[in-house]
Amino acid sequence: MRGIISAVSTAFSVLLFTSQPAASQDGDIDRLIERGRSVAIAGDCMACHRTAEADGKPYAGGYTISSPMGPIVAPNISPSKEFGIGNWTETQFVDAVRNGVSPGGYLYPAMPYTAYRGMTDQDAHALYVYLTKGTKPVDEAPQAKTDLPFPFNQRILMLGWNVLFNSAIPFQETAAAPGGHERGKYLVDTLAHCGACHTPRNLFMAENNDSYLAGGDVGGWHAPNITSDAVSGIGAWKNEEIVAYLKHGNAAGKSQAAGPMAEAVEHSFRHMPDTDLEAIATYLKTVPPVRAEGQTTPGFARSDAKAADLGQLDYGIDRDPKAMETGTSTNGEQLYVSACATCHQVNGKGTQDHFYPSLTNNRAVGGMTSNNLVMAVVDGVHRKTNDFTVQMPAFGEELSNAQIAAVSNYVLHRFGNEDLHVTEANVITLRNGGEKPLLVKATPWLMAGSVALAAIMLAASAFVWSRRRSRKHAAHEANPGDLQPLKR
Amino acid sequence: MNRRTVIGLGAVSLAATMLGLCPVTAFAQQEIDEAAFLALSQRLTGRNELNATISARALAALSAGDEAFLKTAMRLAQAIDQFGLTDMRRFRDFAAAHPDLSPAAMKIISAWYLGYTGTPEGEANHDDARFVSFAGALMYEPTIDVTIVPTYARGKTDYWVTPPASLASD
Amino acid sequence: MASQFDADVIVIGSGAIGTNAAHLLAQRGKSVIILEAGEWIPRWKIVENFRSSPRKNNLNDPYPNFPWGMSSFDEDYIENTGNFNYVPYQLQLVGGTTWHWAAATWRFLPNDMKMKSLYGVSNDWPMEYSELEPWYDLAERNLGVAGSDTDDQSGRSGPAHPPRSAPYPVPAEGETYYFQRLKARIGAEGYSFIHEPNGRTNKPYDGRPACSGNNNCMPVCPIGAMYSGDVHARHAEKAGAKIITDATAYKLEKGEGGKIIAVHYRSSTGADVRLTAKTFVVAANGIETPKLLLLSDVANSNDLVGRHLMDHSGISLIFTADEPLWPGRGQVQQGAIFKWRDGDFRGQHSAIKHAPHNNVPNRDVAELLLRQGVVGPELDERIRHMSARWVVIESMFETLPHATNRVTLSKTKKDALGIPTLSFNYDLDGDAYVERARDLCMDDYGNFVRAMGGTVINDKTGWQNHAHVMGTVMMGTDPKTSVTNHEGRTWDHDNLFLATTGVLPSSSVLNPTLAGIALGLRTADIIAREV
Repeated sequence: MRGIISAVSTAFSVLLFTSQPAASQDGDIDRLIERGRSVAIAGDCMACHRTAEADGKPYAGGYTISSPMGPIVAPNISPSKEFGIGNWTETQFVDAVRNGVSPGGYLYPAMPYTAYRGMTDQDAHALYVYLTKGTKPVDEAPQAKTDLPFPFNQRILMLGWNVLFNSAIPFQETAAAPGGHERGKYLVDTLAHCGACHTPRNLFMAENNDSYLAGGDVGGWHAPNITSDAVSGIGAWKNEEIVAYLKHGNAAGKSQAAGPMAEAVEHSFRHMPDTDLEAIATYLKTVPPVRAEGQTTPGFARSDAKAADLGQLDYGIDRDPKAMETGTSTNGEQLYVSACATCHQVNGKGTQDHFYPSLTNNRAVGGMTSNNLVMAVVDGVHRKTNDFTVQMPAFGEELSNAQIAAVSNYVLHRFGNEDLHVTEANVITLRNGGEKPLLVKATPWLMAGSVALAAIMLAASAFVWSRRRSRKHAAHEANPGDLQPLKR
Repeated sequence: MNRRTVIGLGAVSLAATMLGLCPVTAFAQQEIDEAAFLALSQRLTGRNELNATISARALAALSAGDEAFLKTAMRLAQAIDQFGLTDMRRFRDFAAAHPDLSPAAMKIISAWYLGYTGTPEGEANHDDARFVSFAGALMYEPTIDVTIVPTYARGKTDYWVTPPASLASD
Repeated sequence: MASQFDADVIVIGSGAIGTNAAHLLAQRGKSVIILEAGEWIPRWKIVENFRSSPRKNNLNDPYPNFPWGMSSFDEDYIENTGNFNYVPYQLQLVGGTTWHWAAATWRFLPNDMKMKSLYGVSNDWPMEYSELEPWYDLAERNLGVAGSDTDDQSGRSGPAHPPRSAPYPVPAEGETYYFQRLKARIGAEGYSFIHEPNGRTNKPYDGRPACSGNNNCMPVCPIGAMYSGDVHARHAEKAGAKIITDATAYKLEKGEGGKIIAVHYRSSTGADVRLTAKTFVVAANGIETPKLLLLSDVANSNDLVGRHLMDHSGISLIFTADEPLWPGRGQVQQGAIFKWRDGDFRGQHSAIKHAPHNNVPNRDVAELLLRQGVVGPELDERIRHMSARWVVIESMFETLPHATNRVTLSKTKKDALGIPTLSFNYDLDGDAYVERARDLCMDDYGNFVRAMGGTVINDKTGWQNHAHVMGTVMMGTDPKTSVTNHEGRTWDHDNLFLATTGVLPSSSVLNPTLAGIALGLRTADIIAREV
């Protein structure tokens, strides 16, 4: 297996070297670096390869990605020779980006190499030049280290996983370059790796392409359906609204970016040219619609708050000092009025300028899951835009889990999808990273059974899965040196 | 709430006339009840939509501070009906005719506008002040298009740098 | 050995000064216990307490008033014997009295710290401005202070002053239209308008959201944009400090060699606990700190504890302008008007700081109109007309330290825990230093009203104080005339430190909390090197 991968990398490097420009004049380098910077932005490398603290040195690593298997620390990818990628050859670099195999060993797919595998040769080259020549070396290693529990700490397992799940085919320059007819798809599938969050994962934590972009769960948050379905997806959004959402994290009256999507806006989308955002919007409108089972109303379309007695929302209290000191109430209405209505207003409509968003006409409140509502209350919202920084304070310390459930239920019932109900246990699960995938839950059992059995299961399901996947990718030209998915 | 609507409600005699069509006192009661107090409050504040919950709280607060209030308020309501006070611009005339009842009228109006009854002492904790409403206090309505009910946000940081749109007509 | 003590350092008081100091100590690896008489109260609950309060003028009303932790607005807690009724406003809950400040965070000018040598009145500080500057800087970063890097805060319209080693951590917020108009018209009369540095961050900072003008800094910021001591209570906890609530310290126990060996506290149920530590920091507010010292008979060998009480006593002006200014949009205050800020005149009379207030004026306006019997459509119209034009200027005067202006323990009253309550003697009438300033202030008021084409609503408010407590445990260079040295260390007990605005030996006209925090951080740094 290792032989196959090496062969592939060799094939790539041949390709790269032959496509490299003959003359490397300064102007060319500058242009390459500039292109590489754009690739890094669209690829959102900084989302992970940043420091643990905000505003640290670029690409220094140290940021911890909470994966269902455990915390994964993003490494230093600055051109530091000792601590970063300064000593990597372009072949090694491309091997890491596309195949998930770095000089130090196998990467975890927290690094979205299954998406980056589609990167054009020209972009991969530019990215290498940018990261090695266009950024400053940071000569220090992140303090934290990735330390996953057994068996996930056996990185060699990724070898088998890669054979099964890393099968994309690089885009061609003419189609994927700005203005190219596949630009939008290229950005969505490869650089911006939207599917990493928005496509649900299968049993083995690979993207389930039967539900391409139909919504997935990320560390307690829900990455919504962004297929063209008018009810469950973004089919009813105007292209300008999608662009505004990507650029500012705010499509007024529809949805606001929070959690990981706010980070994508902050580090990536807001820095991209409008033409690219438009290409993304246009492409998303062509993604086959996937309707969530039982959904008849778009999440953003619930526009009427339930009637409420304003005299009851403007209430008096027991002024006994003990009562005034005690903040343990689980009355959702009381909590809403005192903790939320200050900004979102008593009627839930937010402020006229949309700085504080409405809770009606809001996908986080009116959609098919309450995860994003609960997580916004727990973690708050932090989103840097080109104009200003949006911040909703986190209530995870001030309110108990039971209080968060109570206020969430009040909000769902009065402003959104009243069929949803949040329990205290739900809040605890979400704030601890969400429902654990079956693979993680089942691992002790699999281990008890035997690793061999697991391997058999892996192989068997992979056979079925990769047959499906091949249909999706039939449109791509096969690369002779690539790992071939099974074809009909 | 649009302030023009609010001011309009008070100023346009149509509204007052409508209020006048329904007498405040249907029966010859001794003490005012919640429904009659709400009707009386509507008359005194020139508003035909007042919140019944707040009204009940105002009545409770006013009568808790004054044993005779229920009866006084009933006499006030009857006097208003007899006087035919449908437009509060004529309140001075009414007050001159009923000096014994106008303080009760002012207490009711104050409760609705200020959102409390009694006299809060600035630097003491023991007084007869009682809560009626806050966000619903009528004193905020005339300016709600420009300023806020304190604590409730109006919008984005620094919105205050530019003057309100209504400035020229203020 | 650490096991001999309950903690390296016990900090008494969980307000802004105590928790900033405790946080620094915990960061330096010290074991720290913070004692707090009150409890944790979540912000939403205080907001609810405020909105449902029938006495919104009373800044303490949203906070619980217990028989064992009485509000200073409770007549059972405070008695007065002087010609001014002194009320100190302190709060007892985690985070302390900064729950209801307006977060004005001026730095004292270098000259403010040399009053005796420059102007022959008050006291010099036992340190240079430059020694405090790095701690001002840290305090500003801890609080996320927003300020102008170009204003001359001495009011002389010169280069930026006082000197700073770093820019403000947050830029100044935008000027309200109200302030712009006052500045344009009153500024033309020769008054300088200076942005007020403040702890009401206008961009997200340290987990706090940006201020969006909720106009309720006092008595509670509903969104936590404004800094309050609970921020560093949480930070201190995360850094390893332990906070014990419902713990009213009532006695510092003396041991051999002038050391303090233990603090005793009492819970609301009456249970007594004794805790030992290597070092004690009393950071219990400028009033409650001297109270604890007096109760314990410590640090008071020269009988100065509780004396020299200074506040920024002043007066205020209310008028309506001849144009709509629309106060109430934005934060409750945002700048100062200076004419009498610094100069030789300070040998003769107080410096003066005028602060235009920017509160939503509807309650004051409606109360006034209703008192006048205005009702009906006219009431609505006049509420709008007057609210648009309402101007409030609050003026603060520098006061001098007089030994007779003081706080003492009540000789007759005790609270529910059996601890004596407080008695104040605070005289303003007859104090020529402030009375001269009052006359000049009235001249300024005349100018303000004229410049704004105004109609006076009230310019005879009488004396008002601002709960800017200073001087009660003042620091100095001489053990005979001060309670602590420049470190905040009491002269009488070398392991007892005081971290409170009470150590300020001169008052200037500036809200003293930032100075108190900077001094507290400096004290914590000194302790961290010793224990």
